[in-house]
Amino acid sequence: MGKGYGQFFRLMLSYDFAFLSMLSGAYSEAELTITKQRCIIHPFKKRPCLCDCAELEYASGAAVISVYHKICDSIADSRGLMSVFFKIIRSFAKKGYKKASSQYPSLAEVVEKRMNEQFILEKERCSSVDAACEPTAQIMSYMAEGVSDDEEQKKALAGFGYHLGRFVYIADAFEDMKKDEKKGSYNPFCNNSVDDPQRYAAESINLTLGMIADYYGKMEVKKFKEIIDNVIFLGLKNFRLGNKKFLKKILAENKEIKV
Amino acid sequence: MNDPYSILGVSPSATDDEIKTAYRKLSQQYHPDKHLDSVMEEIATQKMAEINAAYDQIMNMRRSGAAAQGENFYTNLRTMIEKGQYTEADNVLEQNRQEMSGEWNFLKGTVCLSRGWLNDAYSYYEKAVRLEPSNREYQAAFARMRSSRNGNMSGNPYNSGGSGMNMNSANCLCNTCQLLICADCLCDCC
Repeated sequence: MGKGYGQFFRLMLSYDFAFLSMLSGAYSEAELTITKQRCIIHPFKKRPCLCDCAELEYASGAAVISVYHKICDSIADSRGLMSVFFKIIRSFAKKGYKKASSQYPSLAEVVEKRMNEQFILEKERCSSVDAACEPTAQIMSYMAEGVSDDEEQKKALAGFGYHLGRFVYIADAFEDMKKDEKKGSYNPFCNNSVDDPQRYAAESINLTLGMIADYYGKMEVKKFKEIIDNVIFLGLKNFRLGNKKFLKKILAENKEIKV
Repeated sequence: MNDPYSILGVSPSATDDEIKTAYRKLSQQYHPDKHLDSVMEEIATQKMAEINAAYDQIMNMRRSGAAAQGENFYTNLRTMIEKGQYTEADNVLEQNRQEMSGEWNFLKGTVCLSRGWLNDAYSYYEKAVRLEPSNREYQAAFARMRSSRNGNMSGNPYNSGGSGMNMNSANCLCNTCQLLICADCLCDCC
């Protein structure tokens, strides 16, 4: 990722995209070449590193596009000094974004369109959880679909991605519930239409996980099956116990791959 | 007579509510009282009559259509859903909201499920089961969603019952039974 888009984006890398690159790796037939290299965050220890392959390129492109739009979103959300700060950050990101969006123009278009929808939904304080999830879910669906060329697999991946995006959005909203309530910021679970928002949120997460498992059952992954099983059935599932760190730990334990 | 939909300025796929809103807006605009003593009065009266006729025609068509379709209505919807034409099916469902019908709620739930709107799907299924408690198909669909809502994931290789949260009572009961049966077997051995 550093090679393709510069070191800036490398620092912005998140677990979501580590997972996406693993997924695209899981769908490729190619043997992976892993070499030992120094990692920028841990310069004193050589780590195993997966190098230059098409699968990583796709995931990095997707990561760059979505990071850039997240920054734009933060500019729109903040005022004064913070907005200046995000604008400076955006200037670092601009070059990489141009490259990624010219390589994956349809993806950039989808992300931009859905981020606008998201902005409007939040401004209007949408009370439907299903509707509030839609933009994030659609973005992830589109990204996941791009991992395979097979029509049947595309369908399974689109459904899997949709619900993974839904999960990410609900899980974030679930975590921020108390904070948003205090600040009065928008949160789909903070409205008067449900009696017990905590419980409602936990149940929404469970429903989503059920669908993730269903679609995952239809996917034919060629590699990393144990790791992905682990992430889905232990990592995601145990998040709802209120422990996001647990998910990170599981991913970190399994992820020896540097992008 | 012209197409009644174009007179009201709506598309044939508009919902009943949309048509009502369009009708109200137009009838305010052309109300003859607004144009008293002006040259417009005659035109407004004529236009108003046209709008009224168009509105009545659409509403009658829709009412008789829904009644005549009856059983057919749901059969057609099911065919659409089986073919994967969810958007079309949803339009038809929205145009003919029958919230007190079990079948309507079930099909609406199925359409919601297909697009990933799980919370809505769950409540429609729940309502379908409440309206027609003896329908097996509704029960099965609802039970499946309820099970995942309680934390079950299909194909879970780590499923050892250690999830902790929201263990449903049926599960616990099952475990208790298993324990009793095991204990019973052990007794037999002695």
